[in-house]
Amino acid sequence: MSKFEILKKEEFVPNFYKLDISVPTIARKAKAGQFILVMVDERSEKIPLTLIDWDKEKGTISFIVQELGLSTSKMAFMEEGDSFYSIVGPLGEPAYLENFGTVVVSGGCYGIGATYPIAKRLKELGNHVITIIEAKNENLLYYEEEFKTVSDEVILVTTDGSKGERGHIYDVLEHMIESQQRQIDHIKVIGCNVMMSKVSKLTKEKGAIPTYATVITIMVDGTGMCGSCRLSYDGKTKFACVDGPEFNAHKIDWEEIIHVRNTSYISEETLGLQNFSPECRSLAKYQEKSKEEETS
Amino acid sequence: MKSKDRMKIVFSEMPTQPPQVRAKNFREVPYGYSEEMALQEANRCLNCKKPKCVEGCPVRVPIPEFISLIQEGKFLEAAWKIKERNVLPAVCGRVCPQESQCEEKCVRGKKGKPVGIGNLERFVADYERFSGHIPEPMRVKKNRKKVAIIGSGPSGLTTAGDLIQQGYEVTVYEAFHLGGGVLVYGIPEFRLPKSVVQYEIQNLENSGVKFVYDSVIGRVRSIDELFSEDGYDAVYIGVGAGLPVFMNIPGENLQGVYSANEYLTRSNLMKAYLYPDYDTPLLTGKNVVVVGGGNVAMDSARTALRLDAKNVYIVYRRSREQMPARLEEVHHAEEEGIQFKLLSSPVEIMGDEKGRIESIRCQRYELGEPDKSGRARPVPIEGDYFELTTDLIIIAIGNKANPLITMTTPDLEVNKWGNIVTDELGRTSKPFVYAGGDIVTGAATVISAMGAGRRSAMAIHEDLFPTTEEITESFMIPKEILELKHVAIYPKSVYLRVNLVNVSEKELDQVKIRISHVHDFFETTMFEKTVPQWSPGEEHEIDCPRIDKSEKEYLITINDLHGKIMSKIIVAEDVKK
Ligand SMILES: Cc1cc2nc3c(=O)[nH]c(=O)nc-3n(C[C@H](O)[C@H](O)[C@H](O)COP(=O)(O)OP(=O)(O)OC[C@H]3O[C@@H](n4cnc5c(N)ncnc54)[C@H](O)[C@@H]3O)c2cc1C
Ligand SMILES: Cc1cc2nc3c(=O)[nH]c(=O)nc-3n(C[C@H](O)[C@H](O)[C@H](O)COP(=O)(O)OP(=O)(O)OC[C@H]3O[C@@H](n4cnc5c(N)ncnc54)[C@H](O)[C@@H]3O)c2cc1C
Ligand code: SF4
Ligand code: FES
Repeated sequence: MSKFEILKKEEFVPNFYKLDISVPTIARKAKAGQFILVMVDERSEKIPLTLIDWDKEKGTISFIVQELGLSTSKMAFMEEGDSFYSIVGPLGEPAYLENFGTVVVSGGCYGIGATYPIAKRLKELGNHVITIIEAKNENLLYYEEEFKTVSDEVILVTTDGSKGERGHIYDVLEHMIESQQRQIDHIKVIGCNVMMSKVSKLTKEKGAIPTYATVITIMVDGTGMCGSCRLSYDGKTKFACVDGPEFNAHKIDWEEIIHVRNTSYISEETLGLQNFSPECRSLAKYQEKSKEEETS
Repeated sequence: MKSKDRMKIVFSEMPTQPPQVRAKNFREVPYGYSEEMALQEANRCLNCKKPKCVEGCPVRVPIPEFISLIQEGKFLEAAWKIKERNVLPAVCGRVCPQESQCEEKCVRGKKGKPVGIGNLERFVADYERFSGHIPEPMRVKKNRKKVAIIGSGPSGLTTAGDLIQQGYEVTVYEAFHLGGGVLVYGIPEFRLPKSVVQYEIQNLENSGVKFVYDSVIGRVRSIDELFSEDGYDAVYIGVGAGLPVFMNIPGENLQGVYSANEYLTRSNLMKAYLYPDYDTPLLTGKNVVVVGGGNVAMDSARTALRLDAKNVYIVYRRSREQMPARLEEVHHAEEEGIQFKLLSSPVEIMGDEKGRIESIRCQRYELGEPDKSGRARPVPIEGDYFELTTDLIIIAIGNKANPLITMTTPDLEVNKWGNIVTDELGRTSKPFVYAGGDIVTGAATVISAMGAGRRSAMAIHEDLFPTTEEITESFMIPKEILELKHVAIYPKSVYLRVNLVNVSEKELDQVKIRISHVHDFFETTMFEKTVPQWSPGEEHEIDCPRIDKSEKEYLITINDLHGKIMSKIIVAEDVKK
């Protein structure tokens, strides 16, 4: 078996793939909240993906990819038996986990998958776990069954109301907080930065409930060497790859992350994706093409 | 050839791509010497009796010897001569600051140009590489000990090379997917072609060194686990100084502000300069401001220029003479049209409503009183500011120690800057853990990182095969071979009264004694001798006139009968007793 081989790949909802890869060294050390940096092939960018499951005995790790731009599209074209060029991890500090009491674990987009190991661990630690998962519509919701096994309550939310509540995570949270049915001791949120920033704003205003978010920043090396992933946190500069990626959401300068740091490469990314033409329907073809280019 | 004739030969200028041409490509700037040029330059060397150049070289490359071999046309032999002391000549010939090391000391530099030692070193190393004479990996008997090396920069590679030749099983763990450290992720292709680094790593692989990429030690494995789970007998830490320093001025997190580490890593390691053939993007700018005056700043500025910038400014707080960059790089940068804004330092970065940078405000400085290091201290001139319009800023004001390893290894002693504390041979506070290179010294040079790697290899060998026993309180010299009876230090000499023991007469010519000074991690040999005329049981005085009494430390090294090396540092105070 070659290094970083895909053992299993599954598109469980449109544009979301779960991949199982054999990397025993990472499986042995992974902790909830940590991530890996992945390169599809020699020419790829290094992109961060959260570890959502791992099996120490079998030496496998799993992650979920949401097809967005160039690198994630390349992954979508990979097949079982293909291998990644490089996988580094586990990176980042593990999530802050203890017995808090009642915890709300919330996730949207790729964050649904990424919150899974966190909910699981929180449950093991004896918390009352309430999971809220959000998607645009019913077709994009996933892991409902998995979450049921590790949570005391699972709340589904869709933007269009096609399943569960209509709206967003923060609408559900706001309702929960205001109805005062249950005291919430701790909140975890993973998803896109905009959603997390809104949750953060809400919980800060509504009694400053401890809220921890997993920031999404652009990364290169994942070891604190480049500073690409820097953010302003409590007036100081922090590196998401070594100090995070989970931070106290109330101390994060969300404005800066969302509107300044993460929009740096918008035009480059579109160009990258255009170059990755649709006729290359599989990675093998793509690689062949690159070889031809090299030799010609 | 007579010295007089040698003096008449003119310096062979290194041919380079014309500035206007090279400013638009990433190919290496100098073409390298032809054989004729190399011969001509080598013939300028006077083969001095007391070669000053060697004193200037941190690892004491036998410079006149290798240059003499060039004079005889023995280019391969010349390369091998260098390799006795320096395993990466193709790299060092290109990136060493020769003007403040070997070439600064060269006597021919007193009047006119010193011998182009770096150029010659580069020539013979390249000659060897292209000759197809792939060095046969030495067949060595395995000694059944395993050493893990963390980091594949110049210091890790040197330690690996030295240890594999002594029979160790050596594994190098590297965080990135490629090896070489700063040589691949920091220094650009136009200054150090990556094929050169790749070739050296291939040689190490051929000789049996195992490379494990994509492994961040501290995360995927702790140092303790390397011992307890993987069964290593020693660990060498050569992780470099990878923590970018920012200026802490307003606007530093705006879009378009890079640390030099990020800018160069994207460009060199991830090959963003070949975007979109490679996927990693890199912001380009028309008006680029690079802050800093070292090699890192020059490399960033010249990369930006090659990526179509119109104006590239270097903003540096001190004067030109104080720039720490290699002279050649400053010179090349200037030829290519980089504009220097000296004696100025940024105070604020301004952006537009979208968070993109627009301009940078700098304050002018003047030179004041000398500081502790003797350099004139730059002092800000009150109220004197200027602004530069810019769309890309690269901060190259230095690197600190990356805390990842030390954070995850609490029993590793660090100083207040986070650098690992070691003794002269790289031993850390943790048993069988050694460290060297930038993580110990702070950002320094390739050659000093290599020297540190070599010294740690010595220490590892000494500690894992301890053949030494203490015979007096102050010295540990292998008792089986030599007894140190008395040491006296005089103004120009040192006497050691020694007695060889347990050595049969026919083995005597194999015993070699070396006394050296230890300086900044490097060794200058002051005395080296085999002692065939001695008889076991006799006491002898070693007169060593080259010893410099002002030095505090002496390293005594003895090769035993099996070629093993044992060494011990003795400190002058101890000796006096
Ligand atoms: C700590 C961490 C953990 C993550 N875990 C996961 C995960 O488990 N699964 C997953 O699918 N994704 C995860 N992400 C996000 C993922 O890294 C990005 O989606 C990915 O880098 C996009 O790469 P691309 O080349 O496909 O897209 P690009 O071509 O780089 O970008 C495509 C589009 O996505 C936007 N984009 C670019 N970078 C990011 C980013 N870092 N985050 C969000 N949008 C971005 C761009 O603006 C653009 O519109 C994580 C990010 C971080 C920082
Ligand atoms: C842009 C630039 C230009 C330079 N130009 C010159 C020059 O012209 N001349 C000169 O003499 N010097 C120059 N230098 C300085 C010189 O490169 C360094 O002093 C030298 O490389 C230090 O060597 P090192 O082996 O200590 O570390 P590095 O070369 O930094 O290598 C350290 C390696 O360790 C790896 N690593 C780090 N952490 C971990 C971990 N936790 N686990 C596994 N691996 C890890 C890193 O990825 C890296 O590959 C330059 C430096 C830079 C940045
Ligand atoms: S290694 Fe560096 S200092 Fe030593 S001789 Fe070569 S160029 Fe000069
Ligand atoms: S990704 Fe480079 S410092 Fe975090």
